[in-house]
Amino acid sequence: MSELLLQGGRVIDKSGDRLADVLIGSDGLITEIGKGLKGGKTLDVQGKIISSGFVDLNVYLGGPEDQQSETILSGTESAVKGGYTAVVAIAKDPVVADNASSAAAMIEISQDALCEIIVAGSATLHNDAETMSPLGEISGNGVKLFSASGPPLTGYQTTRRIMEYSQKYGITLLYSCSNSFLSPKGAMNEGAVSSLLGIPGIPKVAEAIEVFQLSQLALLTGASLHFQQISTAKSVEIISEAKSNGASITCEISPHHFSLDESLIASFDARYKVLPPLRTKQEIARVKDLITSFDAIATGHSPCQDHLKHQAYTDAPFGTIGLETALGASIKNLDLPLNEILRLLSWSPAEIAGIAETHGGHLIPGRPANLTVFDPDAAWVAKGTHMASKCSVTAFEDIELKGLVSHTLVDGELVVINGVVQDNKGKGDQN
Amino acid sequence: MTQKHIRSIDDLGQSGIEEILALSDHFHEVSTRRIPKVPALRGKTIALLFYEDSTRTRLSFETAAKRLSADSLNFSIGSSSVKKGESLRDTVETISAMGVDAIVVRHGSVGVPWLLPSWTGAAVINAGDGSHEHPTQALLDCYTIRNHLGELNGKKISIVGDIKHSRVARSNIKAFLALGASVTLVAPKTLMPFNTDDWGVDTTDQFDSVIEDSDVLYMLRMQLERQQSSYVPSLREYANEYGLSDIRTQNMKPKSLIMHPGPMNRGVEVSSNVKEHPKSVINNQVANGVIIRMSALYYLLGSGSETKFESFDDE
Amino acid sequence: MADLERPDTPLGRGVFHERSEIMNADGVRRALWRMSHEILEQNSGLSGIVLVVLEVGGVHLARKLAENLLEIEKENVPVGTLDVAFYRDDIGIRQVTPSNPTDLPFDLSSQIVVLVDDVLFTGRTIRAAMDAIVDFGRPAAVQLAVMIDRGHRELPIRPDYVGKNVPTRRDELVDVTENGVLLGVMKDAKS
Repeated sequence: MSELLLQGGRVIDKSGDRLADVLIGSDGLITEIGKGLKGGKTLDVQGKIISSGFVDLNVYLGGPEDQQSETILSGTESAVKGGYTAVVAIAKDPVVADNASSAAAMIEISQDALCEIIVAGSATLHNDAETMSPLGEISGNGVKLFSASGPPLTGYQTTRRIMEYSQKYGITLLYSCSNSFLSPKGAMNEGAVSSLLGIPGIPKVAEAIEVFQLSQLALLTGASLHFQQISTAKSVEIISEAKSNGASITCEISPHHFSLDESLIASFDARYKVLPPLRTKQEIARVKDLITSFDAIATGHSPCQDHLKHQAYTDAPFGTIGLETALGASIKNLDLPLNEILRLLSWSPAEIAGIAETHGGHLIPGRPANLTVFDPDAAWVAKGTHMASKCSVTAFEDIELKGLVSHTLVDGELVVINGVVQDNKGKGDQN
Repeated sequence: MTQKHIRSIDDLGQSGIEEILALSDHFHEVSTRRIPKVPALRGKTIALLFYEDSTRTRLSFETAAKRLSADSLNFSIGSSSVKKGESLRDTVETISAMGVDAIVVRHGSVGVPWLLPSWTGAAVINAGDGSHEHPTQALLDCYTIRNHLGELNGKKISIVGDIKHSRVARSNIKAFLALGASVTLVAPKTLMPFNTDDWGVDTTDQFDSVIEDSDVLYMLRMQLERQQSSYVPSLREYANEYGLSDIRTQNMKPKSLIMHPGPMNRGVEVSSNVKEHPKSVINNQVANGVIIRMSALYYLLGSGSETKFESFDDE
Repeated sequence: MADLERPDTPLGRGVFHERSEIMNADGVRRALWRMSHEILEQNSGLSGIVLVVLEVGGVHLARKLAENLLEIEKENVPVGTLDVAFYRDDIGIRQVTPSNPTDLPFDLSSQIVVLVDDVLFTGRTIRAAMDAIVDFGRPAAVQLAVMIDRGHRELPIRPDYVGKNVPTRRDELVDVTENGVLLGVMKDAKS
């Protein structure tokens, strides 16, 4: 690796916003940041933003049990193309790290990745929310994030015990509050559109009820919680109140939840089938008013085999890919200054993921060069077939976005150049 | 010309509905003939793609196709590769490759008829998609009402029962409103759609409050499994509150109609002899099924491309 | 206008521009009187005769023929209407919209069916009518009465009773009413 100079860009990180060049040493660390720097191979990034790399807290990458939806290589190609230098691989059926060896196996194959992967364990065996998995053994592999979906219909005892037990290991529990207890067959937001289409609805209070219950348990136990994909204003209010009462809670929002509304489902296209479901325009406006209360933008990247999404709406699985559209959707649809968008995309999630030493944070000499270079004004139209993910079905298909990643540096190495993923790091074809 | 479809009553609008009702007068005459058959759609092929068992609807379309001299192909879940896990898309593309002009599709999932046009150039008729729509049922109901009451404009129609899960109700509401009727939905709140604010209908959970005023009482089939999911405490209680009993029929106004899309649960949503009641047109609905489906097929396949008028130069 | 026979024949859109009057009201009346007598002469009376009108152009002609026959023979002739739309050979090629439903309140079997239409053009409507007729029974004979034969036949069909033979251009239209017969063209409403 030779020295590299990013010249003429605008640097934005946790410490602020300034015009500066960035010099990166052959060791992959930032050597110097300042004006008029010289040396190394020069990359002209005039008019572009140089940001601390993006961190996604909610990504499904497949794994040993599922090579069909995504692979570590295709998933991280998609990630770096979207400007991510680190992603959290969540536990999701069938890829569930619920014991030390499966966590180790996942960590092992993660070495093939184009960016850093933080493996999240599962707090319950088989991710069934019934029986606690060996949190201590798994965390021995360095795993500090655990998916803890639930609560189970049988009650909150296991949930409470996980919250209590996990604290010894400094674990943060990840909760997706999309329990189906109010709507076993629910497939979209309950409201005027679901009534008209005859699609079973999911009431938005279902999310708020679960957020409220888990927040109260967090206050009771002192556990550290992160809520995934919050989609209603009421949930945000409940979380904010719990935070102000001292709960250790963070929460994320997904780009599709502030960009796309439920009316798209009238096309019956399953690309819009996500969980939590797309909400109404009014609800989106209310959530956007509270956007500064969020701690992260996370994509909930959920690839699946394309043909599964080409089924009838109610038969298709939930989820959309999202790594390559997150920046563009955020700049396009959030009325926020860039440094606030980058807080949500980079340094705040890096802190939640426990990787603030190497990702996000302050760009200063001596830190690994995990950087994202992007044009904040580039308008482009999303096309699933142009994406690096194995899945080409995106909820953002044909939707105009603003802001496009041109270069991504992981540990000082250019893994994306002018929007093209550099495959030299991939150790052969993963497929 | 873009391919016409009948996936929803919305595909037709008021003019399309009226065109189909007008065609139905012709096909009604045809079906009274000694040989109830015309060569109108000779050479056309109609595929019947039924993912849900519905012998009545399928036979009705099949008979309609035969009376128009069209060929029909049957793809029912029991007899095709559906059982072997072939995807909807593959099935449709296979059928399409055989050269069909129209696909009549019944599927348990909402929206399937909207997916088909990306896989086939054939015209699509929705014969029921989940809880969403069943437009030909609505058309035959409009035809039946028009034949008995003259017109729908200004008539008061009450639809009673499990509106929430009813594709018949969704299509009928749109069709009745398009033809100028006013519609009241009658159901316990558990069986009422969550939000009907923009539908242009009245709603009530008091059946007895609408009986005297209604020109049509349209009784929906009550799915017997609804009591297991606590939509209603028991079928007996439902029958007491929302069933069309003999006593309730006595309160109906003169010249009003009793309708039901079938098949009936006698003793639940209707008392055991309502079908034979003088106000009942339930048997007419069945008879009109074939006629309306002839009209629907002819509407889609008989019109052809519209020739544009070209002016001729005198010189 | 019943002579909408070919795909390239102008449809009834735009505005009818009259070019010339072929017959006036008296001419139509006299022709129908003559045709009534010819029907009686040809068939030696009214016995077994039924009139079958092709919607919609033939309706007023058939009514007048029936009145004439009643006046001459003091006997009512049965009149039915026939919609041939579903028997046409251009279904699917262009818009074929039926007019009024068929109404044949009598048995055609062994009767002499006189088809009545206003204009005979390509002959395709008459071909469709004959197919429709045989679906209702087996007539002893089928005859054809038209007010105007304008030529351009595409099928081996000839009329038995004709009001007037008129040479026309293919793009022209013939408009037959009780008040006379007009020859003209359709023009786009805009031009």
